[in-house]
Amino acid sequence: MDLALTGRTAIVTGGSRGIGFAIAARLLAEGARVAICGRDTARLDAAAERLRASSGCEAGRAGEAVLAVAADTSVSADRDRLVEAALERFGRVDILVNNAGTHVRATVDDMTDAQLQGQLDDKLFGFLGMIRAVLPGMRARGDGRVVNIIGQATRHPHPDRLPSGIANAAAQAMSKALADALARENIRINTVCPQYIETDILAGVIAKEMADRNLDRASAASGFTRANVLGRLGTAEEVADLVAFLVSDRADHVSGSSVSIDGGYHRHVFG
Amino acid sequence: MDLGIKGRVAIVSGGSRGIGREAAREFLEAGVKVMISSRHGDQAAATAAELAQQTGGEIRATQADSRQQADVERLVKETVAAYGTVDILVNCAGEMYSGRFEEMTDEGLQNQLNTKLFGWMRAIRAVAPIMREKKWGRIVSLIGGAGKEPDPYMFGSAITNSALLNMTKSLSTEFGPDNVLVNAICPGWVATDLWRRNEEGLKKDLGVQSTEEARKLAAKKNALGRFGRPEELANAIAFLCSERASYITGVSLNTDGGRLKGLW
Repeated sequence: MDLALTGRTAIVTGGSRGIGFAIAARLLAEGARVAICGRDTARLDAAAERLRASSGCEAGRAGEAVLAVAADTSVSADRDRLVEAALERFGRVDILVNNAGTHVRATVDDMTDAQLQGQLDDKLFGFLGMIRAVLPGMRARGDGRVVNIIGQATRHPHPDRLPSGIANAAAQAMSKALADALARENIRINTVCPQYIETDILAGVIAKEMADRNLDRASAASGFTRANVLGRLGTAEEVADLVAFLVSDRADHVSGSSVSIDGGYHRHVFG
Repeated sequence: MDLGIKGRVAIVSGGSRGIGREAAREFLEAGVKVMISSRHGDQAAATAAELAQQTGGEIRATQADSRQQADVERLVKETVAAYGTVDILVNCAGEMYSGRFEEMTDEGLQNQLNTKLFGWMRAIRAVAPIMREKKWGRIVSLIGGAGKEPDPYMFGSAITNSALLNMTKSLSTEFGPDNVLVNAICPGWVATDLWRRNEEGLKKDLGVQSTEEARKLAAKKNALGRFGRPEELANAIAFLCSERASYITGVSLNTDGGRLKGLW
C-alpha cells in the first residue's frame, strides 16, 4: 500500500525510544523527513544516529532527513524551539505525532497534585501546545495530520493509575474537540491508544515485578499477557504501523477517530 | 508500506459494487487471492473480470445470498476448492434499511437481521475453524456508524448495526487466543450505489427537493464536510486485514470523516 508519505515532513515527540522511535523509523522508511525530540540529549543523539543508519533511510538523505532537537514538550519555549527548528530544516511540518510523556501510577491515597499536574503538562498542555505551534502552517496549506498517542487508561481507568487515567481522558476529549473544529480545514486529528506494548517503560515494570516477587520473566509478564485476548505483548513497531496508516493519504476520511491497539484488552463494545 | 499479505486468500461478500469492490481491488494490488460474492451472480462475475483485467490479480466470483445458509456454505467451499484456504473475510454484503420508527416493519427488520447479523455470522461460522486451526485470520465487518450513534431515519439499520458491533467484540475475545482478529469499520455516508438507492427517501426525510441539497445536508453531518469515497473505506479494510494490524482486535474504526461526535 503506497502511503504517499514520500517528501512529507513530521515531528515525533518523545522519539528517542520506544513507540516514538519506532514511529520515526517507520515514517522515515516511508520516505518522510522526521524531527524527533526528547529530554535526554545523549539518548536523543544516539536515537538520531540509529535512525540515520536504519535501513529505511537511504544514505544519500541521512544527514538531511533526520533532525534531533533536545526539548521538553511540557515547556512552552521548548515546543516553539522544536517547531522552529523543524521549519528551518524542512520548510514545513505536515505531520505531528504527539507521543512524549510517561506513565505515572498513583492511587487516591498517595497521588500528589504535582504528579497530576506533571501528567497534564505532558499530555494535555504539551499535546495541545504542539498542535497550536504547527497549526498556522497546516492551516495555510489546508492539510495537516495529527496523531496523539494516548495510553489506554483513557478508556479504561485503574484506581492505581490515577494521574495517567485523568490526563489521558483529558487529552482524548481535547483531541476529539480539536478534530471537530479543524476538520473543515482538512486537518485530521486522531488518537491511537496502546496498551501492553513492550517498551522500556513496561520492561521496567516487569523487571520490578521480577525483583520484588522473585519471579521469572514469563510469570512477571503474565499479568499483562493474560489481560488481553491475544495473550501477548504488542511491539512498538505494531503501533508505528497504525500511526503511519493514520497520517497517510490512505486515511483521508479518518478524522476524530480513536483506535485501540491493545490486543483486545478493552472490553467496551464501542471502541 | 508492505501489507505482508501477499498470497493470502480473502472472501469479500458484497464484492461486486461499492466498498466491497474497492476492497477486492486493494487486496488484488497487495497480492491477495480474492473471492467476491453477490446476490447477483452476473454482477459479481462482471466485476471479477474487470478487476482481473485491471490488476492482473487472481480473483473469482460466485453468487451467494447471505440470508441463505446453503449459499454461504457454498461460498466458503468454493473458495477453499479454488485457493486451498481462507485467511481473510470481509463482510460487506447487505443493504441499509432506512426509514423511521413509523415506517419500520417487523418483516423489514427481520430481513435486515437475516442479511447482516445472521448472514455475517453464518460466514464467520464457516471460516472460523479454518482460520483458528492455522492460527491466523482476519475478519472485518462494515458496520455503519448508526450502530454507535443512532439516527432516527436509520432505525432498522441502527438496531442491526449495534447488534453487529456487539458480535464483533464478543468474537474478538472468542478467537483472539488463536490469532484470529475480528474488527469493524464504521462508515458514514459514502458515494456508492447504496447512497443513490436511498436518495429519494433521504430527500423526503430531510425535507429538500434536489439531490444536490440532500447530498450537501448529508455531507454536512460529518466534520470533513464531504462524502467518503469507496476506496477510502477499502484502504482501512486492507490495513486492518494486513499483517501490519497484528495487535489490533475488537476495535470499530470510525472511517466517517468525523461524523460521530462521541469519544468512543
